[in-house]
Amino acid sequence: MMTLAISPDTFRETAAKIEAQVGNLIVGQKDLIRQTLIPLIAGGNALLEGVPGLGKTMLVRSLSQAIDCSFSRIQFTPDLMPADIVGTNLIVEDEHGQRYFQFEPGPIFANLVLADEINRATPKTQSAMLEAMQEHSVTVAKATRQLPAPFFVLATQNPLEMEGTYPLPEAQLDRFFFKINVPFPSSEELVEIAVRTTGEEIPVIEPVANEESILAMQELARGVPVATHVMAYAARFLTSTHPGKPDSPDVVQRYVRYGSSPRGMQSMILAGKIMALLDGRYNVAYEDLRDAALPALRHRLILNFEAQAEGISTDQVIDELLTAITPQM
Amino acid sequence: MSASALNPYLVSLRRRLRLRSTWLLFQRTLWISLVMVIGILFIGRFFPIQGLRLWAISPPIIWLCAVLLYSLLRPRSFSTIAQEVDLELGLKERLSTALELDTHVTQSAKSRSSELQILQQNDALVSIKKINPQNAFPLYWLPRPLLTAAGLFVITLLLIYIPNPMDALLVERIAVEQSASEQAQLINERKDEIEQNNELNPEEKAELVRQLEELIQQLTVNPGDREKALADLSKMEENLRRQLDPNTDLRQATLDAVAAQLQSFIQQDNLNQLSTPQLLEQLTSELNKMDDSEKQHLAEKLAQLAAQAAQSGDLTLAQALASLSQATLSDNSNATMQAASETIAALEQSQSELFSQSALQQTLNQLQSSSQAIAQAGNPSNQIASQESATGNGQIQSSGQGNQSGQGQGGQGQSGGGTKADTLPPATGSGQARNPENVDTGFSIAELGEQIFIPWERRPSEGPEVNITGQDTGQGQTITKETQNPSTGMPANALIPYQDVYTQYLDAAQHAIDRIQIPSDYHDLVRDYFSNLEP
Repeated sequence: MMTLAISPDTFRETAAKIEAQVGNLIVGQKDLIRQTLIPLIAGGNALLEGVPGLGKTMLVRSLSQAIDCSFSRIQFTPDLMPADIVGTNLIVEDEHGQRYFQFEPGPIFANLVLADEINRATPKTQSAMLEAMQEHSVTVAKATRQLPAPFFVLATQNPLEMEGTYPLPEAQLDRFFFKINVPFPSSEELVEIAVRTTGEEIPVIEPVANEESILAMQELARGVPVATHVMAYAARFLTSTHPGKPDSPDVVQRYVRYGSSPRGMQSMILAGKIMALLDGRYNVAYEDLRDAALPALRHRLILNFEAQAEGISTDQVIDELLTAITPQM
Repeated sequence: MSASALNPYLVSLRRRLRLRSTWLLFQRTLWISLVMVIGILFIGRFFPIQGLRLWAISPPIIWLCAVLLYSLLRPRSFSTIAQEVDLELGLKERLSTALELDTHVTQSAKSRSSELQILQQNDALVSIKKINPQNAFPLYWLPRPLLTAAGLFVITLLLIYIPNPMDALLVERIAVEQSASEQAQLINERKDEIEQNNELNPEEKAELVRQLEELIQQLTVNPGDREKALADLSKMEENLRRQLDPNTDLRQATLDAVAAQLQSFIQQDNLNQLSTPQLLEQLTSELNKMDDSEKQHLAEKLAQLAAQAAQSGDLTLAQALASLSQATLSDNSNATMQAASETIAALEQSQSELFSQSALQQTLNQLQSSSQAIAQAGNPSNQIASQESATGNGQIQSSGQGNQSGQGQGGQGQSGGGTKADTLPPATGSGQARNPENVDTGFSIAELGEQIFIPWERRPSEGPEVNITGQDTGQGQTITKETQNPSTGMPANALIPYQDVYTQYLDAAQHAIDRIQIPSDYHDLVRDYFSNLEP
């Protein structure tokens, strides 16, 4: 029997420390921090959606500081080019006067990449992120280069200012492990934000984890056992997001055009494993899957025109699904 | 940890869960059995159901067995139990995952995650040890289903204890069934008598026995259906009536007359012990001793008897008697002997036929008696009337012939005639008491002291007439006919108050109107008829 790289207790303590450090800067928003941490441990990517000023960028930055790993921030603009992200070959001259191409890595070559306002870049530039997000590698001039591990893309987008933006295509959305809605803080939280950000003392974030610990956490999380009937529940839940299936509830039949891809189920289960470990358990429960359903599936359901006309959101559909699809014995 | 670590706990949990599910199923489905009981009891108020209470009890018994069998035989694997416990106690799939991992642990023993699996199973074991089955899965009450069941139970009790109108009908059915069975036994005895009677024609006897066996079978299997039993009896009665010769009485009277005349010509004692053919044989042997005037007289009488036989429809006997009459006047003794032997044969043939008719008549009487008994079975008021009408039957039999057969006369329909026959004055000349019903026209109720004869309820629609034959003997004699062996009934007073008879008939008529046995067009006619008869 092989020894675990990290014990479940250490896993839980490390995660708690990261959350605590980020919490020093981000007031409240515990669920937001937890949901941001889960894709990081799962080795996935997260899409943060919220109005400006809610601390999305701050969250990612503080997370990178707490992890103590390389961090890049890419501000997406319409004139941003793919090479600006992945890097390019530059002609350089050595001391002998010989010229040659040298690859200059782009900002994507970092452990934690903040793709700020990703929907403002053109689709061409957005697609440059595809390979990096899915394969953790980039190909420039026929040369494929591996990205550092752990690799984690945190993209943000503003749901309000849609003019001059390029909504992410479904294929790219599917690459995001979680889509996290950043809620507006409560009155108490706003007061606390004001206290922390307008005073003389500026919170300092200390690194509590590193690349190795994150990789070890990723390895441990994947080893969490899942019972067959729990796995079957995830599959049943995912199937029920597709209209035309016998198990699909009425809300899906009526409002959903396309259901989730299998990546949605993978995200639910992997997130469930991490949630179980964070909860001090060594197995995935139905409850974990249900908790992971919203962030894992909300960007993977494509609603039809009727839903848009009636103002139905994917969150509402998933809530209905959670009510309708319950565990069975 | 292995599966054996969790199994003992799962066994006790399974036992507890089985008990609880049985208890819950019992409470949730109790109303179903009660609804079925109510349904059966309700139906039993509109349709007569034999053993209604037993039927009503059967659904709860079946339901209870079904619940117990389902609970005991329902397969509940450890996996199912573990999942159920996980869900109910919020163990977050600890037990079910541990149980599953135990079966797959060998496959992943070399993986790094096996340590996680061991941790998981230990975690599950700790969790399951904390569970107390009795506390974790209490046997609780379900108020709503139990209240529903209580309401239904009250309705059930009401249906049980409120008198059921069908009960009387059921009692009547049982009485009819019993009566039919008893009558079948009596008819069977009658059938045995017929089988043992060697004087009957074998073919006719076999046919009669076959019909009686069929009737016995029908009555034996009768489930208490009065109408069917009476219909079976009526059908048989009709068959017998068709076989009855309407001239039986005339033929019997003719034979009696022949016997009487023959006795008057024979100078010997103890003639009553001889049959008519034997008397004729005796007379034939004494013909040589007679003088011409006596022969002349005998020939005249034989001619008269031949005429009477012809009138009764017995042409063979008439022919034989006529031949004997002519032979008596001639001096040819051979011809006389030949004619005498032919006459003897005709007499024997006639007597045999009369025996058959007598057997038929007795069987018919038995069937009518059975019909009456079945008609009155289970009805106390009718039974009283039955006893009263039975006294009338005694009078019926009093009109029988005093000869060997001792048969009664007709059925209930002829009872009036029999009664009147006894009251007729001695016949003179060629008097015949035919159609005694006609005599009734001059017989007022007042003359009977406000008492009249009550016939049986079921009057046959048709039947042989009663003919009381008188015979002019030329010597001013009166033939008195009285029965020696009345087949049915007891001689008793058949007179009852007119008021009672009227009421009874009025009720019967009203009953027939209510049951639509009388066409609606005739309802007023019937009512008017009884209004006119009202005392």
